[in-house]
Amino acid sequence: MMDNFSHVLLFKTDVNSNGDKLFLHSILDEITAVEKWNLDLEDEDFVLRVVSSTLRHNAIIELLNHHGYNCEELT
Amino acid sequence: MRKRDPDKEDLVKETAIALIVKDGLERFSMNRLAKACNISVATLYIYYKDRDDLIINIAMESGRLMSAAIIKDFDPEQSLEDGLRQQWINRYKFMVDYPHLSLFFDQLRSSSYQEEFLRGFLKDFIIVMGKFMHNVIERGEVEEMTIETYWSIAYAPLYSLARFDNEGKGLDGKPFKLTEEVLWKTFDLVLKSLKK
Repeated sequence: MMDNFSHVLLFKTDVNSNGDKLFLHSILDEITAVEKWNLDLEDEDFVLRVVSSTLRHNAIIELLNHHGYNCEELT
Repeated sequence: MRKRDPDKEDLVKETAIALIVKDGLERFSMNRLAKACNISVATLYIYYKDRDDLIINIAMESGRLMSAAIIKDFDPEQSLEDGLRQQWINRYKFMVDYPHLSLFFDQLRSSSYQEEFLRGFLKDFIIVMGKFMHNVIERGEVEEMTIETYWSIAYAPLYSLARFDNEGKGLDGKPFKLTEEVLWKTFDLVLKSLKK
């Protein structure tokens, strides 16, 4: 459970169903720079949590936007 | 760059327990917790993957805390009276020191998190408690009985008194406060009923 906290990227999304989550698997699991990720479907902000030492917020935001999802940095 | 802040983590844990005790698990969310702690939701997600991860972590940690508190200074080789007395001291002290936790455990008991909570403390705890019970039966201090019967006689009265104390009133609705005198009088009766 001990992630490197400076490598945690957090996003507010509209990825709100198990089907969408599965789709997210198909894109995020392919990216080697994504060490770990999970989506909190129980949260009202459908928080996406990505652990990566190299990626920046923008890369994930652009990727999700490209696939038609809203995604912004959670602050 | 974000750093892990132990004070903030403690605040998060304590507040989470307080919220769950007050509003129940159903209404508990990362957003409500963040608001109550006066921190951003993002800070919570830095520490915990999601709501489940947070509850499981807090449940396990609280379980370990309780387990350590209850077996402190307790020796399973002690006589029935000494061992049981130490148990009552430890359990009573734990209730006084962490008044929220017993209520938190009640919430967990009826939830899907019960298993994780148990995993937090079961092993050492069950070994030590089982050994004590086995010893006192072996020595003929008490009759042979199921562990549930033993627990119900040995500890349920203590928890029942604690509940009255928590609610602040007795059976007749009059104010009730658990005093040491009432506690140890009850203990004597428990001991008497267990002794062969």
